[in-house]
Amino acid sequence: MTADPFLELDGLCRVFPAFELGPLSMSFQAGHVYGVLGPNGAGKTTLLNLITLQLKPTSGAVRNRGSVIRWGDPEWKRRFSYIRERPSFYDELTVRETLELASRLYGRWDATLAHTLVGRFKLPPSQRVGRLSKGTKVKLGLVAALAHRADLLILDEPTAGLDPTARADLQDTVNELVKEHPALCVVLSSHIFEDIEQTATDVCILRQGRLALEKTSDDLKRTVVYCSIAAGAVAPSSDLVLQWTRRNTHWLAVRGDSRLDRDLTLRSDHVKAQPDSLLGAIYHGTEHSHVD
Amino acid sequence: MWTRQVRTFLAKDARLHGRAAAVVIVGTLIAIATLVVFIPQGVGPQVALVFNINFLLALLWSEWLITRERSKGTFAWLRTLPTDDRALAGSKFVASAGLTVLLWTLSTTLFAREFWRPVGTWIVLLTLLLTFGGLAIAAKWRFSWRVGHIGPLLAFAAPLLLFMTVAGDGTERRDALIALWNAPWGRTVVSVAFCLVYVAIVVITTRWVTRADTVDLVD
Repeated sequence: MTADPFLELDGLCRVFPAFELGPLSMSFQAGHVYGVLGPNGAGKTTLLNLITLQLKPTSGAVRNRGSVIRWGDPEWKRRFSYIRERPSFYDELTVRETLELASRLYGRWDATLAHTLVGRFKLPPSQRVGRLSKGTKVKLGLVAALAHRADLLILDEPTAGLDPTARADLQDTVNELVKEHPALCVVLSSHIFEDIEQTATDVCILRQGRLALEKTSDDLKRTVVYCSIAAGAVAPSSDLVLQWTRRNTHWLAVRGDSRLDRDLTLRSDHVKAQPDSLLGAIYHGTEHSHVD
Repeated sequence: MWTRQVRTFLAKDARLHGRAAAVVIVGTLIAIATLVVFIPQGVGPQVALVFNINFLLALLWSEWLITRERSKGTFAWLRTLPTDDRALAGSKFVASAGLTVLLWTLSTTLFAREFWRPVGTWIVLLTLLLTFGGLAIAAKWRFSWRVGHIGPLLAFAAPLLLFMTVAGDGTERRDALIALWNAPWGRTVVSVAFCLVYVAIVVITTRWVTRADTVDLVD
């Protein structure tokens, strides 16, 4: 018998006057890191808001281990931590006071772990939150998430608006935490593939409120190259494909005898470039039929 | 759990606004004292001044307690925590009521003891202030900044204008109303009526908060 997924969306739909998300049906497993990709306005934040009970669905349901999560359920809220694109802590409170407030409201709280993480992330305990950078505020949110032992960590565009150094620093932090907490289910949203490619085990792409693609990260990377060649979105011999595949060949399982195929077998640990081929097409919706 | 969360929210509001509220209350008392000492105008204007200041400051408390959190989006963070929306809404009404009672008690005791004689008058005006403060909290939570400011004032101005129109000076209706007011149960009935309106405001607002999407709780 297969165990119920940690989180399951069952025909989840939210209708706004000018936008409709869903219906979405997908599942999230513990120990996986899900990257939710999509252009601005695709519905990523709406999806996360529905999962975290910030928005009521128009229809459908969210399930945790098979049980429907009811609106406002404090038990469910105790199991996740949601860090928004713009973390909205109280600017006037210090880091210490913010964590104290969170600890009183969460009920279960590991003060020792919180203290350790504050030191590790170099958070200034007496500094007012209003004076912290966005990246540091996200780290404060991560401390709260781990200290209350969340089962689900949701990060909405955590690196948006950060400079490259702060972005890399935050990505490293998230990567480390994910490795240290293998049972944690993480959902990361971004409109930039690079932000999630190193962390995500599974990727879904939202476009205009619909699920355009749902794959494991490895499958996606293979699909992108195979489909981009097969669909003729990029000529197999083009420099673009070669450059990109050289950088990303550890993603690929390539068969064939052409020069391209030989190049694809090269392996590299450096993942830097966002593929400007069919992933872009999937993302923007121009070549979706080729992927299907 | 519920009361613990209310206490936590109240402690948070005290940390955020306690100092400013203390400064405003002390400053208001000093301002009233200055006006009373240096610009003596008689008992009537003095008690009116005390009441009007309390009335306006009820708006200020709601501004601090609701508008600020709406505009900064902090309700959105609280909503992601395992909190009970009823505790969140309840704490705002308790905080507003606490500040209203404190200022009303201090200002009337020091500068407008006429309100205490009889004590029923003091209680009626206190329940009126509480109702107005509750309405301000509800309006600022539920409506836009502008409507949240003007709505409560209109809600109180409209019945007042109606009263002045249908029961103006020297009219029989006015005499009848004064007779009701002076009846042994008159002030009690008015106080209870205001209390019922206040409770209705609290219940309706709390119900709305628990059902609202978070985007409706923030600007």
